Amino acid sequence: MHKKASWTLPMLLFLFSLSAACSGDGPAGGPSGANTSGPEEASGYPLTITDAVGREVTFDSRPKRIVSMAPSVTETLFAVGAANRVVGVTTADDYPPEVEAVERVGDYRGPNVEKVLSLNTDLMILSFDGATEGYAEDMAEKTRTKVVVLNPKTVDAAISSVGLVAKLVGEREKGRVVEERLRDELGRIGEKVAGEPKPTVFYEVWGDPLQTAGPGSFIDDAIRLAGGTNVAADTGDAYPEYSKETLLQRDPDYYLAGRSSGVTVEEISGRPGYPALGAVKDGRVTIVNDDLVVRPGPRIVEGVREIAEAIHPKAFD
Amino acid sequence: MDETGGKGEGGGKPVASGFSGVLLALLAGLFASVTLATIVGPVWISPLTVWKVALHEATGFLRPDWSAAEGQIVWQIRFPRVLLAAVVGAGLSVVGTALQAAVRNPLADPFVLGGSSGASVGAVLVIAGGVQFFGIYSLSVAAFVGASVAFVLVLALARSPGGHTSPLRLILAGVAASYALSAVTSFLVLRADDPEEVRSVLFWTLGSLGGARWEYLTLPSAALIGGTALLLAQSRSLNALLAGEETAVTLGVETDGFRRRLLILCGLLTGTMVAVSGTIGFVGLMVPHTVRLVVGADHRRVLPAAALSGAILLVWADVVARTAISPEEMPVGVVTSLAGAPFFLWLMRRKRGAFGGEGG
Repeated sequence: MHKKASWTLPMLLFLFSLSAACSGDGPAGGPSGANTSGPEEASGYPLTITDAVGREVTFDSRPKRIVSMAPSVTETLFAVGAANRVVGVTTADDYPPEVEAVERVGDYRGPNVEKVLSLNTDLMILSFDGATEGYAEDMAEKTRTKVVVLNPKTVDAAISSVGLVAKLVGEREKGRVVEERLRDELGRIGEKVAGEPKPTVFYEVWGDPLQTAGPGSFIDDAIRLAGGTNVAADTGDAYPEYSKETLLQRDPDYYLAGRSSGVTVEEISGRPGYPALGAVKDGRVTIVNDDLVVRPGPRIVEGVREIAEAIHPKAFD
Repeated sequence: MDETGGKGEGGGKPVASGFSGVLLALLAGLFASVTLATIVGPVWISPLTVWKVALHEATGFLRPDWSAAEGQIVWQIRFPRVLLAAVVGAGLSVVGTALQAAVRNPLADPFVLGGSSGASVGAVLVIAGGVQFFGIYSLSVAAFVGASVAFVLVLALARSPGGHTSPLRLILAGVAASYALSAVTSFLVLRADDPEEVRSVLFWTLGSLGGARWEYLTLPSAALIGGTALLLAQSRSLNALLAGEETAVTLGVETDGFRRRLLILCGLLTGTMVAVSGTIGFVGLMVPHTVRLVVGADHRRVLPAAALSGAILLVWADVVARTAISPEEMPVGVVTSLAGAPFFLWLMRRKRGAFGGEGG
């Protein structure tokens, strides 16, 4: 399973590249940051960025044929107005609906090299755990495409990566608008729940065996931002198998379950031992749209909002 | 053959009296294990409360002076889980014992004839494929059907044109079917859009008793009791089969038909166990060997001793699975293999007894 140590370094590099990118991103076109070089002309190219695994990638001009290897990245590209340049996506992509028309060139494990080659692409964006520096270099060579790796691990980093993607594809201004909107929205949610007591929350990823979302998962971060406390915060893994006994003992105020596993509130309420849960007794079991919270794209704040509304119903009346 | 027979348990002699001591010790061990296992868990509940809850739930006596959560943890989570561990552990061990005799191969276990890979296909169809015909029982039903279909397939494939079913043909057909079915599982897993589904499939294939409910106990218990009784009644034929084809025929065992009936029984038992626990490895392979090293090769001894030992082993393996990294859980199959294999190797080096099928 995924261990923290394996992404700490890339994560730091990623954050560093972002902070550097932001520093060169002032409205007056101030001096470029440590990792962003080249003249600050209107087009923004040539452009050099450092990606999540510490690779420096330089673009001489605006990418015209883009492959997105993560639904979150695809959503971002559509949100910043680069939809007509997206030529390849993964089998899991389903949002926005217009993405149906785009060719599928791989799945969450990675792209099909031949398909990518046939599309004559100039930018591939990867965003999954297995995308290491070596993998990215290899893929860049095989597909003769510039490869950029993103791997945000928090909601905040996800919002920042929206700005980074926008910048990559030459839609800096639109990206800034989207990023600002997301931060505003997140701030409003934060304000609404700020004065409220923090309820405890259990999030079910899968029912049998019982799996939850621990530290290092977006869900864990989203619960925190939504003004809740994740009862599984002391597990050592992003998606661990969880003890039912401990769940019953900790008796969370709210029980959330991702809808993609197909569970219903009735099924959850009828499980052995569950009738003793306060959340079951008082009708505080909610099925949430997990696509929103597991995809670090422009809808992630909607996911935070969905959780916040479920666990702070009064604040959102 | 000589060595197995030489231990003096091959024929029709009565079970020696020393064995009843072993059996009593195992029975006491199982009772103690179940008692202790129900008071151990990631959540500390005093032994007194545990047994007060049990008494209250079973007989209606006592007024609850414990919290609702404690009551639910003890009676709805722990008891069914510990008892299910005992039943599944016993079931897998009994099936392993019978199969090692049936195919005369020391490497035989409940999954040698494609049972686990068949069950996995069923489970993956439910987890990643979204097949949901039986509500909350979809996973169990699919696993049972998968295991049974695989068994029937292997039995049919192993039959030679002359209608003869040799152990070697069975093993080869089982291995071939396992590879084919594993490929189907891999294909379905690779087709899954969602890494979470893949993780769920992995957890399931490593085995878990976390889904235990009282309803899950009825069928496996009935299958275990009925199956063990049937096998015990056939102990002499099993002994003859383990000793070798010629010996069995000489002793008047109609090997082909007997083996076929034996395999169908084993297939049903395996499917029942897999349906409620996933594919838990090691138990069905090693418990029969370990027991034979201690009590000899006579199935009148091996079957009951294996059932009890398997029950005890899985009860404790599950205690480790649910407490070692609490509040997380470990797949119980990881525990059985990790702890059981070194123990078995140690026992094997100490003892010089014959293994099932060895030298036959």
